[in-house]
Amino acid sequence: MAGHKIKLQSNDGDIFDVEVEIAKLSITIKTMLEDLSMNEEEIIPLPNINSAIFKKVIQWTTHHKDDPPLPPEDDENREKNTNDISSWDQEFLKVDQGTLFELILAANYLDIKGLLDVTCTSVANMIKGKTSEEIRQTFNIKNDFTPQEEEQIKKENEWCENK
Amino acid sequence: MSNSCVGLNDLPDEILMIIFKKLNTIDVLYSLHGSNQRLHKIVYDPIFTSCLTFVKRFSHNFINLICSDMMLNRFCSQILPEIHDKIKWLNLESSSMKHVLCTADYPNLYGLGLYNIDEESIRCLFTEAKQVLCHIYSYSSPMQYYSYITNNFPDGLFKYVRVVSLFDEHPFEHEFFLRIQKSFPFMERLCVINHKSQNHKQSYESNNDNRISSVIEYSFLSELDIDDVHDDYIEQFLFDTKTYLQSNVLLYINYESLKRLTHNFKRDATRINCAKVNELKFRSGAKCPNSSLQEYFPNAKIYYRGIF
Repeated sequence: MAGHKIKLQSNDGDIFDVEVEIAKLSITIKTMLEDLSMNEEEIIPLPNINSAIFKKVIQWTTHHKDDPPLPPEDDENREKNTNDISSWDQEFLKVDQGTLFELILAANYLDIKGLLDVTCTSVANMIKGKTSEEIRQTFNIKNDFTPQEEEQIKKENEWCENK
Repeated sequence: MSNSCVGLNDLPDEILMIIFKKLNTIDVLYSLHGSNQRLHKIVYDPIFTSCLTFVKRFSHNFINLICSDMMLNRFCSQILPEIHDKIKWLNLESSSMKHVLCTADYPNLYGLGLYNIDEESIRCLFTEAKQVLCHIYSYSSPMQYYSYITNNFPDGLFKYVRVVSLFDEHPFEHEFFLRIQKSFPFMERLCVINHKSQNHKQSYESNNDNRISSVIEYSFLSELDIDDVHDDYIEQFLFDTKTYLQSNVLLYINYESLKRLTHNFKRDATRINCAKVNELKFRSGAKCPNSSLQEYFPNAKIYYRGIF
């Protein structure tokens, strides 16, 4: 099957010819091909992904097509390590925040564990060490606590200081 | 690449959880607690609040505080007072220990890991604080202890711990012992205190039950103290269908209980594991040598009450 291609269509209408083996790194596409018996001539729609993001996804999967499968997560006991992003991936992820989050959504939709893992790690690195105020600034998040809730937090702090 | 307007706050909860789980709970709480209502609510999940580890292990078992003074201050002034009742486990080292423990009450705390702390500091700490079931790890000592584990034990892998004690007022079932063995794979000494009968004892009486497939193997156990237990726990450890012991085990046990459970030293179900005992010590009961007993423990040197 190496070299065979399938047609995948982004939500803005662009059609991409992608090698089957590369496309199958997406469990979602792999399932469509295998379980739904879709043939190579059919165009597979990807309604949740635009062409700009899909180009990035293809770029990533092409580079990582020969990677071994990721080991299962060891949940809570695993030593958290957010420094293990390869230099190629670091370069690949030098994108604006919106693109990074769209890549995460695409990786999640397409079920590409490696891409989801590295993009989420990248965001985790952006969070690490920042105060909540810095988080709001970095990610343009509005402080939506009511004055009453702010007051409650202050009261708790006073209780703490008086102990 | 066209700029997208998708932001962190637009990601679904399950993806935010994936991202946050890549961080230590300390980092998650420090950065996201109080950031906005949605993120604040997510980090209140027990995944992030039930176990807080303020220590980081470096090479050669060097332990240090995981966070800066500024982070620690924020925890003590804002975060811990809010989540104190959700915390079940704290791992602390000497420089942060007093701050964290004095910041709030921890009504649901049942595990406390103390690192890089000397015994004098522990004594000072616990004469001031209310009595808690305390788990103490001392990396300066050749032995590592984990004491008074109850059924609420949250699991985990503790490969440095060699000495374990279990105590509860509720029964320990077979599955609990399985969890303990998995959490302490290098356990060498085990003491069990429990006076409540097991609820699922009947399920393990015969090999016909499917659940009996999980025989618990204690590969490094060399000392077993079941002197102060309900009879069910003697069966738990002496039935070879439930427990696999290595050879050369020192066994502390009550003589009368042993006699009863082994059907006057004739029961086959307990024979294999008893043959693996190389030292048998009675704190009460037998006072003089017993030939049936010695035959049942062919490899054991037997110490009778008052003479060891």
